[in-house]
Amino acid sequence: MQEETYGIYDGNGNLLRIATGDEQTGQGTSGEYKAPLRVSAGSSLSKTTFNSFKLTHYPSLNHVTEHSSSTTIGAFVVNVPGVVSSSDQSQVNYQILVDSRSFADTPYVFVLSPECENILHENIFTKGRFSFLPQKEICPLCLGVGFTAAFDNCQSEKEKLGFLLHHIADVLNNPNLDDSAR
Amino acid sequence: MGLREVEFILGSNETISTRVLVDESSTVFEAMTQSGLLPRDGSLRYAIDARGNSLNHQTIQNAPNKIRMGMLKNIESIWGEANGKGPFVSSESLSGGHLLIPGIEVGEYANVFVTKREHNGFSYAYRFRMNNAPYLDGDLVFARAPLKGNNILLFNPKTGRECIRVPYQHPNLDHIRGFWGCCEIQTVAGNKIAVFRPDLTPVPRTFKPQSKPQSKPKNSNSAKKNKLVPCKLKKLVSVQAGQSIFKGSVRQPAGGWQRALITGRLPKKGTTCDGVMVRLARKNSPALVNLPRYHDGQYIFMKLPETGDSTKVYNIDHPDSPIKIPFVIQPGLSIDHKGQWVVAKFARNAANKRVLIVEGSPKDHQYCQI
Repeated sequence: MQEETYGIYDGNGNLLRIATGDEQTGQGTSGEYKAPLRVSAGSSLSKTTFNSFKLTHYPSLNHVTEHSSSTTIGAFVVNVPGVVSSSDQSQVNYQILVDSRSFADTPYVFVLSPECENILHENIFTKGRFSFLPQKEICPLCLGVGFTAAFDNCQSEKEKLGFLLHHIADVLNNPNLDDSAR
Repeated sequence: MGLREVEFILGSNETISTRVLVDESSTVFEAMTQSGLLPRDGSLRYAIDARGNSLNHQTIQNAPNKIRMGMLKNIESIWGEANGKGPFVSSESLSGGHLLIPGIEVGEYANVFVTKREHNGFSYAYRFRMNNAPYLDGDLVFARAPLKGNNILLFNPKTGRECIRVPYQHPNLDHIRGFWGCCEIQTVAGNKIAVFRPDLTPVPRTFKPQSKPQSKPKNSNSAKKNKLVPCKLKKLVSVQAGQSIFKGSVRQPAGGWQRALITGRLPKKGTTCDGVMVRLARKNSPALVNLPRYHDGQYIFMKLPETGDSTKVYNIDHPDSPIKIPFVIQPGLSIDHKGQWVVAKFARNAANKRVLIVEGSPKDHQYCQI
């Protein structure tokens, strides 16, 4: 994803010029308005980026057919090893479902297995029904308060996916008692 | 013991490699964990030698300088996809084959060992674990009742071979020798045993026990077809760099060398290799030869079937069990090629499974014009 570029518009919405230098960061002058040239349409994750991760560090990545097309991935599952809880450091595999329909925004992350009753991890919410997968009760994963800002700071889609997967593994391996979800 | 530098190369993307300095007494697997190239999702990777055997348990002292990381031929990391008959869950292997695995759940991610058993287009596999013990009490494995003695060998993820010897338990073992079925792993007096589960895989009344390895009645035609024949490549006149179609000659089964078009990867040394001759040379056209190992982007010669959307290609590891691969016809290409020899390219479809893209006949394909 490219860095956001601004344009300077008049009161009727006509583009006067592309913002340069200080205009890019500062406020518009009187009678002129600064607005982004392009606004993200909330596209899904691209298949190319997805496959580059599948073929290297995350072979378990598997797209959800109902939410994907030949070029985009609207949802995917991945296996992520983590610990049972802060008091039980034994390893357990979590099956993670990621809603990547609008990958420019912070994606929602859910735990499909183990079942809610068998989850002791402090940062996994109890099960609920979500419009994304209404037929099944799933447990949202708490990614922490700083996640959204850090995710938005990632410049490219590849960076975003890498950061997301690494962060999920980080949360699942290091339960945060200060941010308890259950 | 001193330190030694080794280079690990990722098999799926050979542009990714890393060098690590490790103690010579450590195993290759221990060094691999320091390389940073192991999958982060718990999926398996093996250090493999040129023949595809596991090097994981070897010490770094005896390992080559460059170590390729990949998967063993009979190992798959799969998601349980749908419930099958009885205890089986179906899944798809990376090469597009269909697998049946007992004792796993739909939606579960598991490492499985693919057995030699194939039936109705399905291969049978069983799950093993990577943490501590590879098999826990209650796990189901799919194994063949021993033809001799009362032990079977289960896959050992550490060595990458079938070398875990466990007793096979059945009250009338002689009645089911050679039968493929589900066994439950149990611990008796501290030792693991495999107990046959007739409730999950009943023995047919018509089953006849086998006391020695059955020699498969070989179809002389298919045996002939599957036989590798020597070929010689004329490297300098390769049709186009990187296109994997070469001019050469092949020794025909009846004797004599004939000109040939050869697809596949160039041998590392020399100009001789063994290939599968799929079509004999004719008066006006060369023989068609496929080298027996495949990679994405490589061309292959195949006869386009009259019906169906898949074809079978030679399997060097199991010559009698060809690999079934779906094909698609390149848009714009006439479908009149059905029943004819065509040039197809290995590629990956949207699900990252291998497919063949039919690009034309050897007569009109641009890379075959020699």
